[in-house]
Amino acid sequence: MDSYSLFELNEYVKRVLGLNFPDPIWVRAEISQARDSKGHLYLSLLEKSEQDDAVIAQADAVVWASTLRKLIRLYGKNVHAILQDGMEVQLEVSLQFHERYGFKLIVEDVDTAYAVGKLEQQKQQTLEALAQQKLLDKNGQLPLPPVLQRIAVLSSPQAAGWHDFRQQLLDNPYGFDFFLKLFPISVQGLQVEKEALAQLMRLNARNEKYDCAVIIRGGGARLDLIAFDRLSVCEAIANCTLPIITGIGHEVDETVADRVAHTSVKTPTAAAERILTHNLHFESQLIQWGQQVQHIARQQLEDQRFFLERSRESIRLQSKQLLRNDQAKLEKFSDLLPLYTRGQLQKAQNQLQGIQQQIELLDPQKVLARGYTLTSQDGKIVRSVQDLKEGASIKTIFQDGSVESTVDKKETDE
Amino acid sequence: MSKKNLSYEKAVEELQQILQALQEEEISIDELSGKIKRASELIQWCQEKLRTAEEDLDELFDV
Repeated sequence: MDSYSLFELNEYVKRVLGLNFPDPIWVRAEISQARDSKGHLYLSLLEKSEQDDAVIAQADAVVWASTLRKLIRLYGKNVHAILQDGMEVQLEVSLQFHERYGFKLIVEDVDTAYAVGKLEQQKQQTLEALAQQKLLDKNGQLPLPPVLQRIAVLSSPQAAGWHDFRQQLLDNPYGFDFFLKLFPISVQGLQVEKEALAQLMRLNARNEKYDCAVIIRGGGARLDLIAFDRLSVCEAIANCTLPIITGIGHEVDETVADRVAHTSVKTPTAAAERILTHNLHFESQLIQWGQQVQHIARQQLEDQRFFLERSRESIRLQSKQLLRNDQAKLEKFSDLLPLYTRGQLQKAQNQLQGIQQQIELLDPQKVLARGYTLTSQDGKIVRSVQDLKEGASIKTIFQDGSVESTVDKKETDE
Repeated sequence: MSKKNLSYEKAVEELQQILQALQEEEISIDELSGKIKRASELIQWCQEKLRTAEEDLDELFDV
């Protein structure tokens, strides 16, 4: 029986492979694991069935350190993000079959557009799913409290973003004070999703202790942010019971997380700014109200003072008028008084005159002058004929003298 | 809404009420002084509170 030695077989396979694949080719696969060792990047690639997610193909690949450096030079930070666990990639590889180490793909190049394209696809899918569930604006509709003072921060403790954010708030020029609590999460790699979900759940459980939450990380490759395009994370953000502000350092392109959050800003610094501005607005509103109250109160006071003045003036005028009226009455009275008293005097005088006249009339001398006489007997005045006897001596007094005579005859009137 | 912010919100509500009362109703001079004082109190309280966040010890030490 003709048989190959193992080495001969492998060598043969190596030659066949080399002949059929002299040049690098592009291959699509998913990275199940990416491990860094001594600067070289070792990748486990696989392909899953579209129907049931079962693994249908597998291969190992390696990016030599020199190649890696070249790729980073060419494509920048995105390279790191692309060559990560879970990423679907398109790689240019040369096929290698080593007698000893078997089949391996040597990565020569990476299609960054493909990765970004896949990303975009995922993003669109996530957006659609969220729109269907009506979650796109849910967090956005939560009312922001008047003051953002107690803030939950989802970020990495080592991240520059967290320190910058914290510093800016604690050293703010307005003297505002804050209570900040870090809910640590990785901000890149595969752990982000799991950790973000866990922390958001914790946050919901204690939401009465905070006014809002922020998710922040420093700038990096857009592909670093893919966790924030994932449906599970975005659902959690949308359903969060606290309003969320994202400041995850994207330069141009928003993530889905930015879309579903209440407020999205570019950087952690901007997030701190936003919070400070919010509180400043509240304070200036307070001051404005204070001024309004003062203004209206002053106005009212002025109105009242004016009313008092007018009342005072009115009272003054009225009392002057009353006085004048009384004075006029008095004057009138004093004018009448002389007339009145004169009248009385006149009356009295007339009375006196009357009495005088009467007295004069009754004056015996005047009576005598009118022809009357007085008759007296023995010094007493005789009034009646009865008092006289015939032959009695009587004296008759005239106005200018008297006559003594004797009664001859007496006659009585009946 | 959280308990602490209810106090900012309550303060705001009361301030609004005072403002409205001043604008609409006739307030006697005695009441006026009281309202102004209260408004001033509320504003001052808010401004101080803005600058003194209470430490939540439970939260601080909860890991």
